[in-house]
Amino acid sequence: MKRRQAIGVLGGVAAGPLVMPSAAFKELLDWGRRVRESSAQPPTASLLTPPRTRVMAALAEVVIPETDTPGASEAGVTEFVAALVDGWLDDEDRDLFLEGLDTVDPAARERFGADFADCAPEQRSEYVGELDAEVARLREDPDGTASSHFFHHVKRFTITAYFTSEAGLAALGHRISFRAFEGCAPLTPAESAPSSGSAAARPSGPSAAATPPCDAP
Amino acid sequence: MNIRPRRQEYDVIVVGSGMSGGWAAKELTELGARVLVLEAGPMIVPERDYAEHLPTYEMPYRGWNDRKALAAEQPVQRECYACDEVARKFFVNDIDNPYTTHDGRPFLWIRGRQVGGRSIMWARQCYRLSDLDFEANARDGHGVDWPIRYADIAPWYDHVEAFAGISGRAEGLPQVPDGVFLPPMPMSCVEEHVAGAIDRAFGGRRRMTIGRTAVLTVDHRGRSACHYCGPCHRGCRTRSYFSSINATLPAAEATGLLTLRPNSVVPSVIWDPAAGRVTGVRVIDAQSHDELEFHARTVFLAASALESTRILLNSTSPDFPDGLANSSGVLGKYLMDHTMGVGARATFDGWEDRTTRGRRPNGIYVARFANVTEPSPDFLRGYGYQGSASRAGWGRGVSMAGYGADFKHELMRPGPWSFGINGFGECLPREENHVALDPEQVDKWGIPALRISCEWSGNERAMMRDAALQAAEMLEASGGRDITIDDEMTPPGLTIHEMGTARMGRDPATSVLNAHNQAWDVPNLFVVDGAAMTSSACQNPSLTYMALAARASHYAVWAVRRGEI
Repeated sequence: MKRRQAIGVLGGVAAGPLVMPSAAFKELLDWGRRVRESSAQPPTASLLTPPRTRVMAALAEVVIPETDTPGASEAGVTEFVAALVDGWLDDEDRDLFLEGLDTVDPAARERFGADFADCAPEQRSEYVGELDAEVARLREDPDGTASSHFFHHVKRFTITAYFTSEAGLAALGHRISFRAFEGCAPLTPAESAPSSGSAAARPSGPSAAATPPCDAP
Repeated sequence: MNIRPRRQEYDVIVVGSGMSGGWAAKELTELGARVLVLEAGPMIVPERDYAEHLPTYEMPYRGWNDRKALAAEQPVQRECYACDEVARKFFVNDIDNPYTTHDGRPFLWIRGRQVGGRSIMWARQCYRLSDLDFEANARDGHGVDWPIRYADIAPWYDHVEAFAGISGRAEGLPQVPDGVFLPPMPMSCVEEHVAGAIDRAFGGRRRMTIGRTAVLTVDHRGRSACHYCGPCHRGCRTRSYFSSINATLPAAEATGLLTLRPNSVVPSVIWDPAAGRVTGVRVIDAQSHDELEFHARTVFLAASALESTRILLNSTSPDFPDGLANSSGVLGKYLMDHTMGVGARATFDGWEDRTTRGRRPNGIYVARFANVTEPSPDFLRGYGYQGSASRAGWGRGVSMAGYGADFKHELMRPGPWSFGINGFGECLPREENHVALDPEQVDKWGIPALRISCEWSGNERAMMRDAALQAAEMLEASGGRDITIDDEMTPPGLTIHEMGTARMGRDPATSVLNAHNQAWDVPNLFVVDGAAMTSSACQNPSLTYMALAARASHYAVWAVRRGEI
């Protein structure tokens, strides 16, 4: 039998057991040493340079576009990506990610005659669709690994950044505290049908993205 | 809480301010003793240090943690789920606090060094042991017999539960006796369904109940009911879960008899050979490295199982060349933890218009059935399960194909229901599983580090093979689909239920402590944390440490008053 994903028991509060690799201890310390040795020199300027930021924001907006709630670029996704690139990723993963990002504009210019961010929405969507299909194929392939494709990381960073951002949490109707725990609550209208789908339907004004009221004691 | 000058005389010195030390401090001061609590780590101020409501967007790595800092400072601690981007400050620095293990025999020692200790980040599950556990060693011959039975500890379980506030449901199960419960938390729809299905499929031999947890479901003794924000291990400003900071230390402080000294690392206990007693402890100030001494009539060790044992091993003298209170030679031996990492998960169809609301800091519990209601000839003793059911969140999008508005909106809807359960198994007390002082390695304060020798035995492995199989069978019997099995045990230590190494017993020749957590060799020395455990049972142990610490505190005060110590 094959070991699967760690099971986060206890209510999704991550208060449960984690599984750990069998060669555990040594591997762990080796990993620590490797990561420590990576990026011993913190970069003075972010490696997510302005042109890369522009590409990342444009890709992220295609993955999570503005609808009746804000999209990824408005939610400030690139700030998180810069933090990962400069202070979190191993050198190897960082290089894979940045090299991938750097292929996007040249490819867009060759195909569509413009930088990716300047392409028409249909062109951007077509290109992202192809990247997403490449990652999906790697996921199905028993010999492949989706994480070897830079777009897997683009998507992973985008989703995480969006749904942990102030705007994304507000879109989810996130609340910090609750009067009681309900084990079998009906879905809210937003949860059953989160959108009418179009940015035109989005309410204007600053209240739209305001954090919902908290009923903390 | 004030910091008094050194060399003041106290009635009792309590080493450690976590789960056990907090209880000792409360009980001893409430009985009129002047108590000095020494804590190796810094002060924790809830209003300053708790951060349970910090929004993810204010965390630089959005909850993915500062992995480079972890690699540099906490390569072991990071394996604990609670050592997250916010709460990692409550875990020790592994470089300052080293220990050694043997190649191929990892032991993950997860520690908290601060006022409150690990009671700040504990998982809060509370289950009583029963006579099934207290008689286990005597029945099958592994380890020595416990010197107490359920009847001895039951009133103390009542005592600590009534104060701490434990929510749970009475089930009438002899193997996990009911306690003094606050109202239980609800199960989710799928949990209710699985509980019923298990009951029917296994003829009532297996019982799933809501977790019994030290989290308040109603206001209790000046502390507020839980508001279900979720990450308890980051602290709780409403003091809704039990910890020494949230409950016992404030009670001790209210007596006016408590002195708390943080940043006080205790390398050893002071033995007076002429008097045949201990007179106090040595302290190294964690910040200045000054060496101090504090004196008291009685010493309580509550520094955590392995730290208390380390202090005793490091307290050598001509009378006790192998460690204080170690005439038996068993100090450091019979280390135990609970097995973990093995279980199963399944997807459940249905209840698509329902979800959970609020982040319940609790799960479900399946009481031990192996070798209780169902014989398991392949192994001795047994295991319980913990788990929960909930709907998948937006994180599922990372491994899904798709992008654009439809993809976004799909991720905003709750995903499928899934249910996971994991077994927590009893570990036999074995002499080979032990700790000793490492001959070379020292910590930041020059104190010899521990060398930990521990591995699971065939009994634990056989038990966990069964736990994986039975987990999958219960999920299948409940109608789960796409069942996956986790069948790899985590290394010892990671369950953070490490215990034993200064066990209680009936015979001074084979145990360190008597039935009152009192050292056989040293009448005014008590060890009141997990070190005292004679067997591990399979229940989460903190509740038992609390009860034993409270019981020992009362015994010590009365023994002093009777002139016995």
